[in-house]
Amino acid sequence: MTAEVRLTDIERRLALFANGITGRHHEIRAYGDDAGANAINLPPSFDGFAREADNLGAYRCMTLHQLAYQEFGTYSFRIDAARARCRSLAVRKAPSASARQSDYDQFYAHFDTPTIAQRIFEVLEGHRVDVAMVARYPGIAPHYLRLRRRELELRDTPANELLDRIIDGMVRWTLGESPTGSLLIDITAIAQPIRDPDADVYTSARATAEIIEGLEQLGILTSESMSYEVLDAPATERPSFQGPPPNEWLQREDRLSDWYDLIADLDEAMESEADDPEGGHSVVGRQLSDQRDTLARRADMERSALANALDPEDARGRRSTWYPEWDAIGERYLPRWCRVYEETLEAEPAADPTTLLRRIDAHRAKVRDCFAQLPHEALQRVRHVIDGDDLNWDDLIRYAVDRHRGETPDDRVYERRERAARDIATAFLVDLSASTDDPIVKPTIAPTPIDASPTHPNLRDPFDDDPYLWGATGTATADDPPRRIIDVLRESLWLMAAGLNDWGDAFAIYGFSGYSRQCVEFATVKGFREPWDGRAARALVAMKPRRSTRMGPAIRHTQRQLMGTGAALKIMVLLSDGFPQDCDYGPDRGNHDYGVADTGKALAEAEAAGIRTFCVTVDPSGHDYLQTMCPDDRYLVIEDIDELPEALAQVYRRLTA
Amino acid sequence: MREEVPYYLPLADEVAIFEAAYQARLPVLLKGPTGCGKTRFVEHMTWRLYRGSEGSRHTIDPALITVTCHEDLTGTDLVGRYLLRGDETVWMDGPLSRAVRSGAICYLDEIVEARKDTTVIIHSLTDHRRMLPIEKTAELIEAHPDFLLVISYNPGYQGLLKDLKPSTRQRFVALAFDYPDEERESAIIAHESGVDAEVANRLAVIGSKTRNLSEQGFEEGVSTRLLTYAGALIRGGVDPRRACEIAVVNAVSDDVTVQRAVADIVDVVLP
Repeated sequence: MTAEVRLTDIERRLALFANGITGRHHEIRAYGDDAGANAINLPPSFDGFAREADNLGAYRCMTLHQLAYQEFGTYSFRIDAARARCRSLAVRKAPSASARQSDYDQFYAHFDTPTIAQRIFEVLEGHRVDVAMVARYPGIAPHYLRLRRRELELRDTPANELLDRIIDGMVRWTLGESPTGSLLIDITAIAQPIRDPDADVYTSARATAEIIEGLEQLGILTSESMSYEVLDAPATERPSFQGPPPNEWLQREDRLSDWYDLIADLDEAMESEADDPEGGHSVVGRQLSDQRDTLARRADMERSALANALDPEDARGRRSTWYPEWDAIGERYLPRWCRVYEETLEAEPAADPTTLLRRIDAHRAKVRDCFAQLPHEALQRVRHVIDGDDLNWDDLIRYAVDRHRGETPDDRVYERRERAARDIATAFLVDLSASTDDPIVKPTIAPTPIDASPTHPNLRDPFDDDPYLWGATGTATADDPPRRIIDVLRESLWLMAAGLNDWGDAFAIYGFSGYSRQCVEFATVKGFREPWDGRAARALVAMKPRRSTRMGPAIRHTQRQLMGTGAALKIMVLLSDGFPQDCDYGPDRGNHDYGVADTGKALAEAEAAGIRTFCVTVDPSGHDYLQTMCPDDRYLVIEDIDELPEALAQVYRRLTA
Repeated sequence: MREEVPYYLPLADEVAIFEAAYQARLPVLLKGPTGCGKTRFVEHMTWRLYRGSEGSRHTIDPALITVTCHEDLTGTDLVGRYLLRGDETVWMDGPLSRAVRSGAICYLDEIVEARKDTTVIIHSLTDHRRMLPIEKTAELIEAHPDFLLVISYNPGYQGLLKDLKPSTRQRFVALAFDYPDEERESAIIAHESGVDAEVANRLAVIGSKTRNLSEQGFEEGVSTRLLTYAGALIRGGVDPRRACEIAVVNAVSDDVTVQRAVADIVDVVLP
């Protein structure tokens, strides 16, 4: 039995571990994958040790090492502070800094040999955070020491280049080997403070600057050494278990937030200056204004650079999660195949629900009737119990008679009211593919024009008998734009949301779309924890047709949301207008079997997890694929789309009965 | 009520606030996650206000009546019921009625778990009337001058699907509780379990790291109470990793992957 551990098998475990350590969401990536700002890069598999537990521990150590850069201040490095704290750096001429240069770039640019400075710094800083990591997390020590030993055993003999040997000697020192030769002994003596408990990133910077200074004085680093950067010297790189060097972009992101704090301070100072009756147009005021404008421009440029460099999706603040996909051709799961980006659908302030509210008027009564038939949280009177709210007279008399006859009386003389609770959570998952933009073939024209011009619609409750809202009669006007599938989906969901809100059952509304397995978009209109209020209602109105329909990952992500509710009855209703399809949902875009199989598998996974699933489609040809995706009693094909609101309410009633 | 003051480490001004609320007989709502010290705080405050006081309040026994609410808790359970005794039916006060009559503090723990119709009973006790109507005996009990009602609930997992009615919530002054920072939690664990400061500190770190996962498969982060249990097991000679496995890892989630991730955190934090 092999002791090899594959990253795909422990990915979620490591991501959770990282999440716990830092309090931030991290993605686990194999070397070579695109690295996002919060990614942890690890080897795709590891079999360095004979025991599986040790290989698992190695992964944990590699993960913790990368997190340690963040925890122990590598990203808080500021060049001004470095110059203030490192004499050997301060004596050097400060390079001219461009707005797009990170503090680390500026640090390395202090030296004639920036590449060498970077390599030395990375070796030292990597070791500093390892020392701090072991002190803070002593349980990692055995794994760390084991990895160090292995690294030393596997390490190649360095090339003849003196610099290579020096850096290799430093690396070996960080791996626990005693330095040999007076030069290396001197260098490691300079570096020794990075092992102190109170060492910080500037300790590494100072050691780097002093080592470079020493090498320059010895004539080892000369202008010729500048060509060193073009050499490929793998033997002198950092220990392999430390992964890639610290993410420079994270450090720049950190600095950007400092700039915004400074801009806020300047704004405050300018306000105080303006309040001063004599200071409004003072020299100080102008200086503050100039300083603020310069910094704001610089911050904007930096933000733009960051947005381009980091994953643009992440830059929008969306959180992503990877999910497997069922490969029906290979009959296996493709691990970590689809990336689902989760975002809260922003309400459009200008969204006007007037037309929608008018449309749902026609369905209001029928949907309300459907809800009226749902069993309420009822209190049932239970008699003949040993403990309860009241004595039951029949039981009491029987008790007294038995007692007088000398028989052992039955103590069950109470009655009590017991609740039949509705502990239900329902997720509506709506297909927001581009095809939902298609017009409905049979537009409805209202028999009478609307004579009221509402200005304050009740966004929460369409059942509200507000005279404005329901006094305005009719279903649609001739001036209304042609109805599209998305319009009916929104109307139906609005009715359901209002009804469920009134009823008190927990529910959430999600939309999904996207393009390709790397970008499945999952938009939260209303989460389980959020109220059905004006924001959620306007977000619902803001639901728009987007791109493709990769259903599998959206269902898996919805399953995750539902499991988090802890409700006794969990329901997932999938609303769509067609079969699952995406640009890479299967080997052939024209063939939907692959997508149908994956969607069916995702639905089966949800069912296995205890979720009651139901698919509703307005696609007349839905029977063709739905019957292979789910059991017959778990789907509904709506022939006339106008029936969707009532159908949805009936489906809900059936599922929760 | 204990003879010694129950240990409680204040995190902010909650002791002074509670004392002020008691002086004004304002009902108090304690909000906070499971196992963060709400119940201990009430015990501590009761001791200070009753056992630590001069005068007649000192003699009220019990000074604290605690009811742990649950979904089957009825008004009868709180107010009282008729019991059969021989050929007679005898009225027996419930915990709330007893506290109202005697002047004790009545603490309704996890109040949102109780049925909505139950919570309405306390309304007349929490405004200027301070009265408890008992329908079955046709009584209207005026609350003892020393009586105070304290309720608690957990806005975390309970807030997801349950909540207090505004008409109930707005009758109380609310004190928010949360888990203490590592330093204070460490002191609490050391005091409660008897482990040394280093072990207590390690357990506190496990607590704070594990709470970062509170939305990843379990409803709440590991509580100070669980960490204290782990400390007690360690103090009793159980291996620290095994103690944390029993008291923390297995307790926070049933999701195997989450359990393994929490075990990984425990493994790296403990020496």
